[in-house]
Formats: sequence, C-alpha cells, structure tokens
Amino acid sequence: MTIELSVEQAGDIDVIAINGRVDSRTAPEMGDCLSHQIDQGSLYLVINFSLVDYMSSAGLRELVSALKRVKSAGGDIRLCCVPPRVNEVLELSGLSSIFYVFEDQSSALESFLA
Amino acid sequence: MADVRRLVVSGRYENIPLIIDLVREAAADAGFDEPTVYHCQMSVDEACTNIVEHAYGGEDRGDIEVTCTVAENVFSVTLLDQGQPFDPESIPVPVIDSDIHRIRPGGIGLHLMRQLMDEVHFSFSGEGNRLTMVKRARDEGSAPPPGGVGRETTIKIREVEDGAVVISPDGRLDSTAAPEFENTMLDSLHQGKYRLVIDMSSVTYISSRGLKALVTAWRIARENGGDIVLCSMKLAVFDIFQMVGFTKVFTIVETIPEALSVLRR
Repeated sequence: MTIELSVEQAGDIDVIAINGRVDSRTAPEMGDCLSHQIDQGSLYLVINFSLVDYMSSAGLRELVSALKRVKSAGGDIRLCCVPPRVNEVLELSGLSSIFYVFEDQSSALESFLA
Repeated sequence: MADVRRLVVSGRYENIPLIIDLVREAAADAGFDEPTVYHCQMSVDEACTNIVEHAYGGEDRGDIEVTCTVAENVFSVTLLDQGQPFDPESIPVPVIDSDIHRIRPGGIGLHLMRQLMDEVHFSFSGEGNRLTMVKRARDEGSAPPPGGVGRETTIKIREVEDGAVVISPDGRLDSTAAPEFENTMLDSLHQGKYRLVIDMSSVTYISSRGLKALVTAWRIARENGGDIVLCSMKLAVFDIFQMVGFTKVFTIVETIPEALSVLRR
C-alpha cells in the first residue's frame, strides 16, 4: 500500500492532492512531497484530503513540520475537503486550531487571495 | 466467557495492518458501531507505531504480540514487546499553540490513544512492555465522542433596551453547531432586528461553516441598514479571523458595551 500525491499549480499556490492512507509507512512520502515543494520556494500550499480515508499522528507530524517551514517564511498551508474521520484526528490532536480547514478547494484557494 | 484472539508479528510497519485487521474484527464482534471500531483501530495503530519507533528504535528488532479480548460491549487489547522499557511519563505533552514556533507535536500518538480509548495502562516487567487499552460501548444516544468533538453548543440570546440583540454562542462553532447559530441570527433578522452583537467570549473555535453563518447574517443586516459587531473574541479565534481576512469585514471590539455603542452610531 502506498499513497498517491499530485501537485498542481494555481498561480502562486500549490495544490497537493493526496490519495490513500496516511500512516506511519506512508507519512514520510507525504512529508517528502511537501518538503520538495517548499524547497522549490512554494509558500502557499493547499492540501486536498478528499481521497484520504485515514491519517494517523505520523501524518500530523509531517503537516506540522511543513507548516513550521512555510510559516517562518510568511506562507501558510490550508487544508480542504477533509473527511469527518480525518477531521476528528485534527480536532482531537488540537491541530484544528493551527490549520485552517475549508469545505472545498476553491474556498481554500480564495482564502489566500483575501 | 470471553473470546480471546492472539497474533504475533515481527515489528515492522508493514505488519501493523495485520494487527489492525485483527482489532477491527474483534471490536466489531464486541458489538461496537463503526466509529468506535475505528477508534480502536486508530489507537492500536498509534501504539504499534510507538513500539516500532521508540521501544525497538527501528524495524525488525523484535516481535509485537497482540491479544484481543472480546466480551459483550467491552473490547480490550494488550500489546507486548521486548523493546526498551517505555515510560509514558517520559513522553512530552504535545504543545499546540497559535505561535507556530512553540508547537511541539511529539506525543500526539499517545495523546490520541488516551482520548480515543476508555483506559490506557502501561507496565514493564521481565516479559517486556505491556500496554492494555480498553474500550466500552457507549450508551445509546450518548453521542459525544471523547475530547469534546460534537459537544453541544448553547446559544444565549438577549435583547437590550434600544432593540439591539446580543447573541452569545458557547463552545465550538463548527459544522455541527453553525446551523443553529445561523438560525438564531436569522430569527432576529426576520423579526426586523438588524443590529446584532455577537459575544464571542465563550467561543473556542470557529470553522469555515461558522464563518459562513456570520457572513450570511451580516449581508442581510447590512442590506437592511443594520450591522453585526463582534466582541470579546479569544485570541485563537481572532487568529482564524485574521487568517481568512475577516478582520477587514467585521468590526471586532473588546466588550459588549463597546459593541452596542458602535451599533448606535
């Protein structure tokens, strides 16, 4: 089992769509993808979780370290289309207070233009 | 009589799904609903990851022995490993702060296990580390899962002398609570009360659905010569407003009297 990651550009914003289970085996892959984009100079990332049916704390850690990197450079990571189960993990871990979550991708993109 | 199921696998990440499958079946057989089964799976996933990562310090350093005990409405799982003695007290409490540089996400796995399960016990002896977690079926109708997700939001409403209405929601304005919040505001607007103060002092979180409720009400108020002023907002909530640019849309002041005086202008 692996995860699929796709990256699209919408102006200055990177949209990263994840497909699969983000757990201790696959989280590093997601982390590498985020690091790669940030290394390339991306500051504004939208992560689309619509096809993620599971995320464990390993995934949360990768999200937080990526967020720290972009925030220190003035950017942000915003999440969209988060299924209830993944949202529950964000809430239980307290991370819902540091990640802004949007119902759909277009509102996440628009939020960067506000 | 309790039904006991056991499995021993080598401590590798790719073996964790085998353990999770066993847990899923056992928890389902204990009569749990789907979300509860999922909480059991998630906790065991976090526990197994900790064993490989911390107790063994890597893959293929030892076995994980899983024992599930199924009784009616009670599921318990024990995980045994021969790795480094594990002291849960040594695990830091995760720090989640609006100041990004203060965030330390270490220990989230253990934190999640404790929130998702009814009991979490660790012990260390000659046989190794033993972790036992217990989950009991919830009574019908007592829906709120641990950690306050889905907690009831109560909304207080009062009209002041000059006809302005003060609405004080409480708790989390998320997708569960936002529709009621929206309806409360709309009720006042439909009664011709277009000047609203939203007292945010007890609001701990607002989701995009909550923001949408505010915008919907704000548009109607403005179209009818009124306004919505927010006050007493917690810093964490203010951060959210700032992040999405809503501080430019709404007037946000410190106190209810201040908000009322803004509405009188």
